[in-house]
Amino acid sequence: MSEIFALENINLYYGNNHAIKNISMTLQRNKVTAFIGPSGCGKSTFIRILNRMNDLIPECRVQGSILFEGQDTYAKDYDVIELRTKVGMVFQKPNPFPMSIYDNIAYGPRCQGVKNKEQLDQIVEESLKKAALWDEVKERLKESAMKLSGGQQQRVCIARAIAMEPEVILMDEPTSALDPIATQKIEDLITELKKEYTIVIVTHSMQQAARISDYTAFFYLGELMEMDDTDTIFKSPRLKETEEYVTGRFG
Amino acid sequence: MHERPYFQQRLEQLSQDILTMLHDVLDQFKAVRKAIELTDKNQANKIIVKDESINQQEIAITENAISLIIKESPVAKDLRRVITAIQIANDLERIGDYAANLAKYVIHTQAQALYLDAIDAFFPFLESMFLDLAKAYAAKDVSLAMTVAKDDQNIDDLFDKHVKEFIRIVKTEINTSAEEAGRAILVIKQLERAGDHLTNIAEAIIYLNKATHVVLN
Repeated sequence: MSEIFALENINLYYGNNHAIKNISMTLQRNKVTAFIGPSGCGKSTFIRILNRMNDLIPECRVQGSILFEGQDTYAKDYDVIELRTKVGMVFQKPNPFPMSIYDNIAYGPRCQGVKNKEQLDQIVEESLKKAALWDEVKERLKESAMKLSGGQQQRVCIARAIAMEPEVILMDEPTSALDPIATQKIEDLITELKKEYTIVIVTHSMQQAARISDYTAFFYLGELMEMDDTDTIFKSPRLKETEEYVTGRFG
Repeated sequence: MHERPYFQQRLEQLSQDILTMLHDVLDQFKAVRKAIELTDKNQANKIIVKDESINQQEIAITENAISLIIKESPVAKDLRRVITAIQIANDLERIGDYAANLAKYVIHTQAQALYLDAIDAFFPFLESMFLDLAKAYAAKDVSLAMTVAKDDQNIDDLFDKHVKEFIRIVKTEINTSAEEAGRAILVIKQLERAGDHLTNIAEAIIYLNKATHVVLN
C-alpha cells in the first residue's frame, strides 16, 4: 500500500470564512476513499484542494502542505495543468461538451497535441471501454454526447477524464442526478476503475460509501472528525458524532 | 438532533419483544420445575403447547429484524441491535426447547425422585442468569452480562458432579435401573445446555454494547 496524496495541516478560507480547519490525511493509491458529512461540512471544498479547483474562486486561500506523489502542488513552479491532467474530476451534473461523443473524449488529448487519427481512435476506444460505455455507443461515436442518457453522459465524463491517463479521479457526488440503474453502473465502474486509478468520491449516500469505498472520512463543520476503514466507520466508529451521522441521527 | 422517531420506535419494540420472550422462557422453566415436583402431566402438556408460541416469537422477531434491515439499512449500533436480536431470539427458542423436553420427561417417566434434588440445585443459577441477562440487556450493562459466565461455570460443575452421582447410584443401588439413571442424566443435560445458550446471550449483549466479540465460558 502506498500514499498518493499526503496532506498536512490544511486550512482553507473563503475571505473570512474558515471553511477547512487544520485537516491532515493521506490517500492510498488504488483505493476508493469516500468523503461523507452533512451539507456545508467542507467535503466538496476539500476534494477540490486535491486538483486546485479552488484556485478559480476569488478570495480563496489555502494553507498547509499538500504533497501529490511527493511533490508540493502549491509550490510556485508547480504546473497546475499537469496536476489537473493527473488528477481528473467528475462532477455532480454530467457536463459533456456540446460536441460528438468522439470529440468529447479526444478533446483533452488533442489539447495536449495528439493529432494522429489512429492514436486518437485508440484513446477514444480504450477510454470508453474503461468507462464501460463502448458497447453502448460504438455505433454512434459521431453523434452529439448531449443526446445520451444522464448515466451515459456521466460515463462520457469519466471516459474524458480517463483519456488524460490520470492517476487519481475525483468524483463529486457523481450519481446524485442519476436513476438507480445508472447509479449501479457507475458504482460497479468505480470498483473496476480502482485497479488502475485512485478514486476519491464525495457522496451523500451512506449506503454508497459503505458499498464502494475502502476508506471513509467523516467531515463536520470544516473538520475531519474521523477517518478509518469503511467497515470500521459503519460497524463501530470511534466517535459518537460519526455514529450519529452514519445512523442518520444527525443534523 | 434528528431522531428518526419511526425507526427508533421499531428498534425499541424489537428490544421489548426480546425481553418478553426471555421472561416467557423463564416462566416455562419455572412451570416445568413445578410440574416435575408434582408429576403434573396436565401442566407438562401445557408447557409443550406453550413452546409452540415461543417458537412463533422467534419467527416474529426474526421477521421484524429482516424488515428493519430492508427498510432502514441500519449500521453501527443500530445494526448490532438488529443482528443481536436475531441471535438472542434464536438462543431463547433453543432454551425453550429444553424446557419442553423436560416437560416430555414428566409425561413419559416415573423416576422424578431421582433427579428432583439435582434440578433444585441447578435452578437458582439458571434463574439468576435469566434475570441478570434481562437486566443487562435493558440497561446496556456489560459488566452484569459478564457475571453470568460464573453461574454457567457453576452449572457445568453441578452437571459433572451429578453425572458421577447417577453413575454411582446405578452401580451400587439395586433399586435404580440403568434406564432411570440415563434418563436422569438426559434431564440435567437440558439444564446444562440451557446454561450454555444463556451464556451465548451474554456474549451477544456484550457485542451489542461494545462491538467486540468475547467468548465467556
